[in-house]
Amino acid sequence: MANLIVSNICNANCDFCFASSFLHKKMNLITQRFMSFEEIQFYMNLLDQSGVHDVRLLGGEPTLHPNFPEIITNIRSHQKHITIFTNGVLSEKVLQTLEDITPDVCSIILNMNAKILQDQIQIREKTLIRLGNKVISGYTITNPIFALDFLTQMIMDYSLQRVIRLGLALPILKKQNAALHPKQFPAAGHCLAEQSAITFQKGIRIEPDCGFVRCMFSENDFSILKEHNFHYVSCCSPVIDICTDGQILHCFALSEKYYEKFDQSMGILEIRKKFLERTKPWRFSGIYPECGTCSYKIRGECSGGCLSMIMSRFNPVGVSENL
Amino acid sequence: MEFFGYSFSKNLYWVNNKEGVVVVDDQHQRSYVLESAESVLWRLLINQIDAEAIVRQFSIIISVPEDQIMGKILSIIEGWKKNGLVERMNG
Ligand code: SF4
Ligand code: SF4
Repeated sequence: MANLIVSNICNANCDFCFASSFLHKKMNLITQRFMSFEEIQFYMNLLDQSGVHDVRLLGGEPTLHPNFPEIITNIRSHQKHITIFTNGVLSEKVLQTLEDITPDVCSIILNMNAKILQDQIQIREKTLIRLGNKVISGYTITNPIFALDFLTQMIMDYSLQRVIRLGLALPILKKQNAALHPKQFPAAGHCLAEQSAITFQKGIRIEPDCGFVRCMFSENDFSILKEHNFHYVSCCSPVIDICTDGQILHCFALSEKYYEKFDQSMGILEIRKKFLERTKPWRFSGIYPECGTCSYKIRGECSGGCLSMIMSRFNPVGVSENL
Repeated sequence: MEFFGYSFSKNLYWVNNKEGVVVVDDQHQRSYVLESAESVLWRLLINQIDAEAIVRQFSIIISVPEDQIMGKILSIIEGWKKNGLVERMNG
C-alpha cells in the first residue's frame, strides 16, 4: 500500500488535519498545487516494480486535481485497487468518474467531520445521494466525548456502506493541530464502547485507524466493543506518503522529521523499511511512562501508540536539535 | 553541558519511564533503558546542579558513602562512554 499525495491544496479547513501544515509549507516553497500527471505515471511504474497493489489518493483534497478522471483511468490500467480520501465536495466531472466504478475497484472514504461551508454541505449531499453505497464514512475523534448517532443516521439515510473508519486526532510532531491528549484516551475509549451499541444495532462495523491503544478500553468496554464487532488493532505502521517533488514521508504526523528525497536506487518498500529502522529506537517507549513494562505491549496487543505522541514526550539533551 | 570531565553526546533524547530513564541516541538509532542508579545520576546531571551537590545527593539517594560515591559515578559514566552517550572533554 502507498499513499499518493496528488493535491497540495484543499477546499475544507479541518483543525485536526494532519496534512495542512506540511502542505502549507510545501505550497510556500514550491507553489506546485498538484502532482503532475507524468509524476503519477512514474510512481505507478515504480509501484508496479515494488509489487504494491493498493494505491490511496490523498491531499489536500485529491479530487481537486484537474486530471482526476485520467488519474483514475491510469491507476486502473495498472490493475491496482484505489482508495480515495475525500471531503465529499465533488465536482460533476469527479462524480461522474466515481459513479462509473464499483467498490471492489475503488473505495471512497468520505471524511464526515470535515469542516466545510454551508454551500459545500449541499454539494456533499449530492455526492452522498449519487455515490451511496460506494461511500465508506470516515470519522475523526477530536473530543473524548463524541456521538456517532448522526453518522449512523446518515449511513442509513443515504444507504452508505455499513462501515465507519474511525480515526483519532493525533498530533503532528513540532506543530500545532487539534489533537487528543493521551490522558483523554480512556474517556474516548469508554465513549466509543457506548456508541458502538448504536452502530451495532444498525449492522454498522467500526474499523479503527492507526494510533489506538489497548489500555484506552477497560476490560468491560473492550468486551462490549468485541461483541459489537469492533476489530481492535493497535498499529503505528506507516503507509508511506509520496508527495510532489519526489518527497517521501513516514506519515504526515512525522513529516518534520522522517522524510526522504526519492532516490532511483531504492524501491518504495526499501524506503519504508528504512523509516521503520530509523524510528525503531523510539518504539521501545510508548505514549505513557508505563508502556515499557506493560503486559499488553509485551504480548504484542499494543504498539505503545502513535510515534508522534511518543516522541513528543522526550526531552532533548543539551545541544540536541529540538524534536 | 560538562560534568566530571565529560559531556553528553549530540542528538540524545530522554524521557522518564516507569522502568527508568530511557535515552534515545537518534544519530546511531539506538535506545537505552538506564538502571535505577544510572537514572538517578542522569536526572541529577540533566538538572545541572553543581558537581558537589550532585555527589552529595547521589550518595544520599543510592545510599553509598561519600568516600565511595565518586568511584560509582565514574564507573557509570564510563559505561555511558562505551555506549556513546557521553564523550570525554579535551583539555
Ligand atoms: S503499551 Fe502503553 S498505551 Fe499500550 S496498553 Fe500498554 S500502557 Fe497502554
Ligand atoms: S506516527 Fe504512527 S500512529 Fe502516528 S500518525 Fe504516523 S503512522 Fe499513525
